[in-house]
Amino acid sequence: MSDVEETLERIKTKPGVIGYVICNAEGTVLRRFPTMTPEQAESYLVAMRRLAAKAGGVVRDMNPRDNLEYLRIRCKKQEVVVARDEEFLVIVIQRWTPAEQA
Amino acid sequence: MSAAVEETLKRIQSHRGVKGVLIVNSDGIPIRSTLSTEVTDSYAGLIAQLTYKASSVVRTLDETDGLTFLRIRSNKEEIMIAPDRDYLLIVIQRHELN
Repeated sequence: MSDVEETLERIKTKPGVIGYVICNAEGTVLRRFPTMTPEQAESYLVAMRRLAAKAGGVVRDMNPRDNLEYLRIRCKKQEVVVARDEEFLVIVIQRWTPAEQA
Repeated sequence: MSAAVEETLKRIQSHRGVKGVLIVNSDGIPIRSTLSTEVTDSYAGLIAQLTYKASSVVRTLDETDGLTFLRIRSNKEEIMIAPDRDYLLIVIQRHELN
């Protein structure tokens, strides 16, 4: 369990991270970013769960032996990264800035 | 398709690890692809649907926001999708193993 807490601390303190939600297979929120309200966490959870399931379906339709690792949804204002395995769904919301021009 | 588009497709396709590049229109119909017709048709439909859903999810969470890029990473490959008003640019690449 402390591995999990350590990882969460690391995610929490990474610059740009403005939210995270971790839920189990049943869709129960296990952890959320301290400043996120339960309603916000729930909205992200519901939306991302469906999207991750659909993305997973696309991956498996193309190759039944393949599996989704994660999904990155970049928006104008922020980026949402969703990782899913059998037991958990992890959603991290972060701000993004354009890369330096080479 | 203009020469600039062809040029861009060729450039992307020549990157190491790139499996294929597709351009799909707003109806999900592939209009250009470096992959076989069969594979193209499979990816095009599935990805167009998923992108539409992702776009709508983004706006549901914040109606002032919009989808700018989508990346689907699986064990075997990564699908990158750049949506535009009229088209989707899709690039499929294998993972680099160092």
